[in-house]
Parts: sequence; structure tokens; C-alpha cells
Amino acid sequence: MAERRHLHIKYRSVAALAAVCALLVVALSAGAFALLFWKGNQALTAAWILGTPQSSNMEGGILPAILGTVASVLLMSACAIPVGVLSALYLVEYSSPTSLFAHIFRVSISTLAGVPPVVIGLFGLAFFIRTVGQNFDAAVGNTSFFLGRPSMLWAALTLAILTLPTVILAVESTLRAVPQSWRESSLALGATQWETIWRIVLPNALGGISTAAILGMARAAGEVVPLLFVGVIYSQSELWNGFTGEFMHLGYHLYVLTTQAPNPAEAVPLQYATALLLLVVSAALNIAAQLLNRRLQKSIAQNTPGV
Amino acid sequence: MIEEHSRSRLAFNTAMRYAATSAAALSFSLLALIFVYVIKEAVPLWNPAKVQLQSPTDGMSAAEPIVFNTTPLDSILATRTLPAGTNVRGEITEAIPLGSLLGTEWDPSGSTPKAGLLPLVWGTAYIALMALLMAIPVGVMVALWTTEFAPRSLRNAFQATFSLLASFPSVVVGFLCLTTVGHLLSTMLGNQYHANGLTASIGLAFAIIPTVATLSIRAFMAVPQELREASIALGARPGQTLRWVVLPCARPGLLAAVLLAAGRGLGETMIILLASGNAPLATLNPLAPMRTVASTIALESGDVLWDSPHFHVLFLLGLGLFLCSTLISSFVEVKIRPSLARGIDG
Repeated sequence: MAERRHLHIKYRSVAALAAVCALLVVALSAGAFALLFWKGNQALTAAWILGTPQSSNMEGGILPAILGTVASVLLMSACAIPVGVLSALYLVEYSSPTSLFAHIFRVSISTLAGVPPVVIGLFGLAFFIRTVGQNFDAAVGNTSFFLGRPSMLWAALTLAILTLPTVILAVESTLRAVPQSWRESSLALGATQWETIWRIVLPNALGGISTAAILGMARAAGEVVPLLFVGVIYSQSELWNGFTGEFMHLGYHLYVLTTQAPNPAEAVPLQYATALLLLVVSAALNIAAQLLNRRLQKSIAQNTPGV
Repeated sequence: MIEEHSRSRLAFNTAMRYAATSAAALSFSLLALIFVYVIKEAVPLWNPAKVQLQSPTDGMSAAEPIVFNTTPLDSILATRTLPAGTNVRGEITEAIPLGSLLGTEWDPSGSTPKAGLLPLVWGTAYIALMALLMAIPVGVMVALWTTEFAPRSLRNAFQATFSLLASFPSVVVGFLCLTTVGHLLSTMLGNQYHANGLTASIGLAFAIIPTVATLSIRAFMAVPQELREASIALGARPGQTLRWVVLPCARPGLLAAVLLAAGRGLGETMIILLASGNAPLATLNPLAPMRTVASTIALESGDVLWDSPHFHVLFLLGLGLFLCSTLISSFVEVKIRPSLARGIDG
């Protein structure tokens, strides 16, 4: 009896410890949000959001950084999402479960997901800028650097490599959720495999694909490290330098304000405001993805006939 | 007519099949390309005869707003004729003696350059280990609570909070860690530097807890419900079921969680860049500033000269990180994943 009691106490204490850990994590993240809102909202004015930076970023605003963040993420999505969806289609629709190629691809997708962002940044520099870009410039006979230098274009492509695995894995799981019998019915009616994918699989997976896209964007919006070598700059006076120009980024702006501000005390409110803005952008994307996903799961649960 | 129509349908079908296959092959090719290009930029370190400085020195400088369009290519190409061992600024860049790679001094751009990797590797391992020691127990406990103890109504809300936490940009985590944890530690312990190894590892732990927890939740969820029921039907108490049925079944999944979190810890850059103090010291004192391999790459590539020995040694660091992360991920994928898919096998 004493032993059972002892066991029960042990079980209860494990449960209590687990609850404490869970509470701790939730409290920490809520605390981080609260701190940023509290300290960040002083500097968060319309003039600051809509202005361009002046006097080493200590005055003026950060609109170019917002534009740069948004544009790099959008350009990244334009590259990563079509390729990601096609890759997922291969894994779900075309490859056989025992195929060696499919196995190799699957392993490389997971491996690519684990490559540190800083290495992907180095690759972007070595491949996109120093190989593709410079060779293009040499071939065209440009007298000035056009593609062989850090730019928005290369930064977006580098980010796309980073988010590709996230997108593929998320799209793959939505494609698998489309009932197999729907595909079989379509094929039995004489549709080709592509017609089945286009008319049956993709329309039904569209919501899940959007969720995957938003998740990839949230991931990309928060990444700064791969951009360091491929196009991000500290400050710019124009709003927009073009796709082959360099750009400002909210995350890099925060990093620079924290480490290299000319007047650290004055920079503090700006740091919190920048951090808040960046967090709001990535959290909003994340919440949107979750809400979409939840609505989708409900509608799938309602509409799916007995399979 | 009909035949022609169906022929084009079939041709399109085949074309799309090839398109999907090549898109899937892209991930593999990218991995191979990363490997090849990082090696390609690291190799000249071994082959100093081929060291040629040819690129604009400002090409990598993210910190200064420099307009590139004004740099004519001719003036850049002219630098190719500079005597070996000098750069466009006319500074002399000495080759890095390869023997110094095993040393304890990291100063690759000094007048007698040394690239001792020891303090960087030490800092990486030390910070990652401290972070894992904090993150693994907390992450696994959080997963345990979510899957085994939490009331059903709280479970979804909790998982949502959790994925929100995972989406915290690491630069924000690093910043908050430096300003709050760093400050707190120095008032409590009276240490000199806000940014130090312990501060960085606390920030890193915060960043990898979601990774550990999400993967552990998946591991616990994968334990078949029938096994739990069978155990309870045999008279085991919930604690015994947890200890002797759930944990052993979830073990491969938990191992995968730990390994992938370690990989994330080795490669994480922004948090450490902000919170570790970035001094390349090999010290046992957790309150001393430290520096990791990844943060060195991020820190120094800003003002390194392209094609200088310093530039190539940074790619060597990148190669090391790439190999570590690839080893970890492919081990998980090839060795652990199959046993997850099979479920329990003794």
C-alpha cells in the first residue's frame, strides 16, 4: 500500500512539474510580448513608420525597412511556393512509396531544412553573387556591377532556399489529406493524372497550401542572418532601390540599432519599437496561418463524405 | 481531331510529371550545390598560390551604405594586376599559416594572421550544451504536459501559443535576452559583461524549447492508444503506464527531438551574435564573453576582403557547420525515422 502511495505521489509530482514547465514557457512568451508592447509603443508613431531614416537612423523613420522586409518575403514566396508545391506533388502523387529517388529526395529535404541559415547565406554569396551574377555581368559586358553584387533579388532567392523545405513538408501533409477515392474516381472517369491533380487535388488542398505559404513567409520574415551577406544594408535615403539594389530590413535594423547605435541610450525606444514591429509582422502571419488551418480542418470534417 | 486533342493532353500530363520530378530533385541539387560552393570557396586556403584579390572590398559590407553603381568594372579588373598578397586598398594580406588552425588564437586579419579554431569550437559546444541542458528537460516536460496531463480544452490553446512562440524572430529573442536576462544576471551575480556565454545560452534555450517540445509532442502522440489502454487494463497505474509503456515507445522520437535541437543550437546565429559578447575566448567560466562558429561568420563577413585568406577561412567555418548539420539530419532521417514509422519494435 505504501508503495502504491509512493507511486502516486511520484506521478503527481511529475504532473505538477510538467504543468509548471508549460506555465513557465507560456508566461515567458506572454511576458516578452508585454514588455515589447510596453516599451515599444512610445517610439511607434505614424511619422516614424512612414518616414525615411535620417542622421544614422536615430531620426526619421523606417518605411524603407518595412518595404524591404515585405518585398523580400513576397519575392521569396514567388520563388519558393511554386517549386515547393511541385515538389510536394512529386512526393505525394507521382513517386511510389518504395522508390529510391523519392527516399533520397525526402532525406535531402529534411537535411536542407537543418542547414544553418548562416551557411545558406554563405552559399548565396558564393553561388548567386560571385558565380551567377558576376559571370552574367562579364558575359553581358557590363561596365558596372549589375547582378554581381548583393541585391534584393539574390536575398530573396537565398531566403527561398531557406523556406523551401518548410513549404514542401507543409504542402505534402495537406495533399495527403485529400481522400484517395476522389483521385480514383477522377481517373476512372478518364481524366489524366495531371487533370486529376489540377481539378480535384489542388482545389481541395488550396487552403492548406495557403497555410503552408503563410508559414513559410512567417519563417522568412524573421530571418536576418542569411541576408547579411547578400543584400541587406544599414540605411538608405530612398524608399526603394529596385530589385537589383540593396535594401533595409527590420530585423537587421534592430541588430544594428542594438550593436552599433552612435548613442545607445537614445536608441533604446527605437530598438523596442523595431522589435515590436517585427514581432507583430511575424506573429500576424503565424496567427493568420493557424486560423486558416483551423477553419479548413472544420470544413474538411463537415464536407468529407464517408470514405 | 479527338486523337490529337488527347495526344496533347497526354503530352501535357507527361510534361507536368517531369516538372514535378525536377522540382523535387532541386532540393537534392541545392544540397549538393551548397556543399560544392562552400568547399570551392574554402579550398584556396590550402592553395595560397591561387589567392588573387579581385573583388570590390565593399561587396560584402552590409554595415555601410555604399553605392555600387559608381564602381566601374575596369578599376576592379585593374586590381588583378596588383602584386600577390595585396588587396585593392593596397593593404598587405598575409596568408594564414595552416598550422595556426589548431591554435587558440583567432585573429585572421591581423598583421600576423592566426586562425585558431579552438576558441570558436569551444564556444559553440559550450553554449549549445548549456542551452540543451536547459531546453531538453523543459521541452520534454512541456510536451508531456500537453499530451498526457493537460485538460482537453486547454490543449489546443496551448499548442497555438506554442507555435506562436516558435515564430519569434531570433533577432527579437536575442535582443530581449540581452536587455533583460543579461541585465538581470549582471545585477544578481555582479559580473562585468551583460553579454556572456550564459546569457547567450539562456536565449538559445528559449529558441530551441519550441523545437524540442513540438517534436516531443509528436513522439508522445505517436504512441498507440491501445498500448496505454492495454497497460491500464492490466492494472498498471497511470504513472507506471507512463514510465514503462509511453516513455519507451516515444524514445526514438525523443532522441530525434534532442538531435535536431542540437543541430539548431549549433547553427543559431542571431541570438548568440547579440548576447554572447563575441570574444573568442576558450574559458570554462560561463559568465565570460564567448564566440561561436556561426556568429563568427556573421560578424566578420561584413568587412572581410573578398578572396583574402580571411574570407576563405570563414567558408571553412561554414563547411564545418554544414557537415555537422547534414550529419545530424541525415542520421535522424535514415536511422531514427524508419523506427518511428514502424512504431515499436521491442
